[in-house]
Amino acid sequence: MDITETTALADLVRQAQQGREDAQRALIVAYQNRIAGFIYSITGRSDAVEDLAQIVFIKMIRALPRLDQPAQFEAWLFRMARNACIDHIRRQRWQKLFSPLDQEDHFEIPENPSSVDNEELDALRHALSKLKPADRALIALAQEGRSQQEMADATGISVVALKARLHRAREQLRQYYEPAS
Amino acid sequence: MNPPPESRAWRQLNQHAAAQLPADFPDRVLRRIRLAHAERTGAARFFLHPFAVSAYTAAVCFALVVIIHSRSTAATSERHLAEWHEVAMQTASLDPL
Repeated sequence: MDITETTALADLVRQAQQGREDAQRALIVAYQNRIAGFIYSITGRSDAVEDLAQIVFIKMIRALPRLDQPAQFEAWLFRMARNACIDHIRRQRWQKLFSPLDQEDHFEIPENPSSVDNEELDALRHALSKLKPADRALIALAQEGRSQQEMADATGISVVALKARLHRAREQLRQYYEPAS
Repeated sequence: MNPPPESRAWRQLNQHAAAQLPADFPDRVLRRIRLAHAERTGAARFFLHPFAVSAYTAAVCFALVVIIHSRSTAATSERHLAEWHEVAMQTASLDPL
């Protein structure tokens, strides 16, 4: 079955909504890599990917019965992932505020480039890190092929405002993206 | 139209991120959901057990008795204090000095 087909996906979502574990597993398998990439592009941390992806899929399965339009599943899932990432970044900021000064917060230590070991990828990570989390989320949503209306719904702004913000974020990304080679 | 210069980097970013997930990732997610569900069911069973219901009903009743008793005691003390104050005033007015 080609999961990218809307009707097949809607059927799968309906089965998952009924609590069928094989359908829930199929949804996770189908989206886990895209969700991982999405999370990594917003958080910029490899060590956050698995935990956040688990949170997103657990929320997805719990909230599935409340999804009225199975055809809207993908937009709904990425909106959920976006919110989970933004919440995670906010929590990290609060933890940093309330943690003692002498206590090292590992989330503040930039990821070692050698763990990534790729100049282009490292340049993209660097460029993304220069953007605000909300702008990184916009770029990631656009990269995932979400429509402008879907992105506007996910971020709670108008389509006109979204276009301007997305344009500015893309300009900033290009400005900071400088691969060494 | 040419693809943006960072398009290859995006592909690499997605590959790198996907590599962070263990091979049994879907199983881990489903296991965590089952575990959480079992914990919730267990907790619900504990809190709805007849003994537990009796225990927290008794606790609520005890708390209510304590609150009502302390309020009525405080009101009685205030009334007595006011009466004593009045008696003291009357005694003072009868004092020839």
